[in-house]
Amino acid sequence: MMRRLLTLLAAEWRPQAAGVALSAAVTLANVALLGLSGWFIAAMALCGHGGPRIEYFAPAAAIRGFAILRTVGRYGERVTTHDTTLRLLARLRVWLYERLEPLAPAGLARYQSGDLLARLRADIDSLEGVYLRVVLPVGSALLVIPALALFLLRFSAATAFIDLAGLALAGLGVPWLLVQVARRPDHQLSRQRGAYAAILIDLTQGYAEWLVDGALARLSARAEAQAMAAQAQERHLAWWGALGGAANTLVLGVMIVGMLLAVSGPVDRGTLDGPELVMIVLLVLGSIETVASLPAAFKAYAETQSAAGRIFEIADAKPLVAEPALPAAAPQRYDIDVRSLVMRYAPDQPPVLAGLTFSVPQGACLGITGPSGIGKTSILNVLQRFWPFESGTVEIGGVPLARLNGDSARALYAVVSQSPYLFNTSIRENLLLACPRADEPRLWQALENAALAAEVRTMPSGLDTRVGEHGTALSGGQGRRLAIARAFLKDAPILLLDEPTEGLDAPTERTVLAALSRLRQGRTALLISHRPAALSLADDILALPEGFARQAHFNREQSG
Amino acid sequence: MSRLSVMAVLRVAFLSALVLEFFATLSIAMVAVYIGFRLYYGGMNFLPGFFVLLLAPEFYRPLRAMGAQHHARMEALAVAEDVTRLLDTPEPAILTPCRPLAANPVREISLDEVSFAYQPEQTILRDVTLCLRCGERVALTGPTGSGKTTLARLLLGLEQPTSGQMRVNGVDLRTLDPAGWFKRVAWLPQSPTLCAGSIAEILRLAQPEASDDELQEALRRAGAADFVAHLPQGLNTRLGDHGAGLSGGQIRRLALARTLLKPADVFVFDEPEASLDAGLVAHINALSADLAREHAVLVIAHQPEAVVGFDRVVALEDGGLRLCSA
Repeated sequence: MMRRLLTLLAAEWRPQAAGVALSAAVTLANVALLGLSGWFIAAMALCGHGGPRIEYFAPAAAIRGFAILRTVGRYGERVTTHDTTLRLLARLRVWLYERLEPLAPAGLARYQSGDLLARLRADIDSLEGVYLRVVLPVGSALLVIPALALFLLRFSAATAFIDLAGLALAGLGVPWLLVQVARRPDHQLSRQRGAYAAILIDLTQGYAEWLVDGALARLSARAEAQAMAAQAQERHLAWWGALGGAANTLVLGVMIVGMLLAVSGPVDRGTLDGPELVMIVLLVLGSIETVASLPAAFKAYAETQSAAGRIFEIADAKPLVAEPALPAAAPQRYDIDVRSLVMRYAPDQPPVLAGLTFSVPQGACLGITGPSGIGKTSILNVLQRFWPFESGTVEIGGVPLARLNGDSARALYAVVSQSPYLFNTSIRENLLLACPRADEPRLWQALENAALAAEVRTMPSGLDTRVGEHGTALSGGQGRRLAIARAFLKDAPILLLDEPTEGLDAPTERTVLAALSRLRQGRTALLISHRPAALSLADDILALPEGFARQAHFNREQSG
Repeated sequence: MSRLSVMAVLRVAFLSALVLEFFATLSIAMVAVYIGFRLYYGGMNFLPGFFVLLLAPEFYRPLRAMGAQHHARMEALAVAEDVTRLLDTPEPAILTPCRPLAANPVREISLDEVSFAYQPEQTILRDVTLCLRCGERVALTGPTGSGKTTLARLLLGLEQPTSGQMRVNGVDLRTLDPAGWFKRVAWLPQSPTLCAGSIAEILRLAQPEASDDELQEALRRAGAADFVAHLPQGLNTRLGDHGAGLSGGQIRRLALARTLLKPADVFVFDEPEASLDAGLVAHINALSADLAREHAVLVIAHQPEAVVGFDRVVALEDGGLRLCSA
């Protein structure tokens, strides 16, 4: 799994390598700065007390050089690594989006949206951090520690060995142990956080209902309990983390003491002089910095692992509607022909559509009516390739639907539904969604056609009026007509109208229907509705009866 | 494009860290070189010199840590702004002391010259007077966006009138304990929320102690028994997020069943017939007629066939109430 993640991230290896190199250079400069400073003052002190003379210009210049290298290098490192992280983030998001898109909405229905949201955001965040928090510190430590050990080896093999062992224990051993201990609670914690987000979404979306139903206290208690559980888990994990930190400090302390004992012999024998001793002590002290971020790297690694697991789980989910291997060209005619269509939402559920047959000639409008829950909207789901069907054929202009890829199939349709999705932005932006290149006159033309232009003109901000979340700043009729204007702009050959006048009063319904009847000119249309007024728009009506005789044939000539 | 602009900001932001780093590093170098020469000329002993050198990085460590935490601080400030705005929202005025609702059932609720506006300049309801009695079924109609749902929310006590009074059995609602009042009203909103869980869990949310039989009875009355029986695990079928897998009409009927489980005195249905076919509309109409025998029922409706047989039909137009038929 991690290998797969690393392959995914390997594409940007150059800037990543540059970041690691810079980070290693900065750490080395810092350790060298300390060590050299120690050597320098010790040598100068000995000199001052009648010891051997030293040439002090070169070391003093080197100290200043290291200081500058460290400062400038750190800045370069931060800029490089953050730039790399942003590149990786962009790559990851695009990668995930490309995999999510074919899934929606059938493939994503089983994930709760709160959970999905928490997952996507938190998980992508932790994947994005894999470079900054894992690759960078580990890579840098792997470069610096051997270099340091080799340098120490020139003076004292024992010191080099003790330093290596201590750093390995503090940087690898303790963190590894910690990850093993924390694996289960970490897993639980991320599950608990997802559940908490899901409850919170339920709680806020239905707030007034829960208040009236007296369920608010119960739901809040549920959310509270979930939050407390997550918090307890976090506290538990924090204890382990603190314990690990203490263990690390202990290991490093023991390492310093051990090193001092080890060099006392050579110093006594005179094989190691005073300045060298001071330098070694400071080098070993400085070397601790190289492993300082490794425990965090291990923790991040574990988090990344579970995040990557979840992301890959979603990314690998099979799209329920398979894309054709060899997509056909877009149809040239726009008649719809459905034969013996069988469709169900889950294998263990009865079919929603069991052998439905109908056809709509190009330019005609078929009204579909029937008891609620009989599967009217399911027909539209199949046509838009949102859900797969089990058997039967669906052809548009003689081209089998299954041979069109999702995007080119959806390009055929303009949809007006009972609750059109309006984005919380301006009327203009909502219109441009359907046709990004439309100019101002075209937008107004569409609004004119949808009988909305006059009202938009009277709004203080005109086209730039904000429609509110889910279009709440507009009336129901206005929202519907905005969706119709969008359909005019999209200029798709086929209209899918899903209860377009539901919830509107009679006068509003009339304006919407007038706009719809202009819209359907020259387009093939499917109109789902219960309302006689709306159904008057249709050339013929397919009534899906209660029970399961869901077969009908539509022929405009026959119905006159 | 966005990466480049973010990096432009970060390059500047990192400068503050650069300055800190510069001083922290410089201190080591300065101390080393300065002390080095003091030692060289015998102006200082080795031990204090060495000690100061060891201290130099420590001295700047907290400053460097502060630089690292600066980012966290900025994030926290941005979030705190949102949170305090939320926390500063004034709570609706509840007149104290809160009196518990008397034990006898709600016989009458009335809106007395009630006006309401979400924003000062946008009056939604103007001097509305409406009385709803036990044993009565009233239909509320009116054009889309005329404020029917707002009127229902006022009647439920979810909104406070801007002026005028809302009375329960003749007592100002604002003086009553809200929790006790909410126990007496049941509400089917226009777009009901189903929380995640099994159908039984969804139904039991308001009435945790309801038995399976009571659930089935409520489903039957809401016209939902048939489709629930056809689900693979019946009452224990888990629904996806917000009723995923059910049609719009099925979600509304489940929510209606949840509403019916409540032993309330007043029932408010906001467009119960939306997305339902003619057979179910008739079923719901019969249900509200049945409820109105012992309760007060207010139904918001669009379609004329949905208000057949009601005691009264009132219409909201331009913020005012008009009696259509009695």
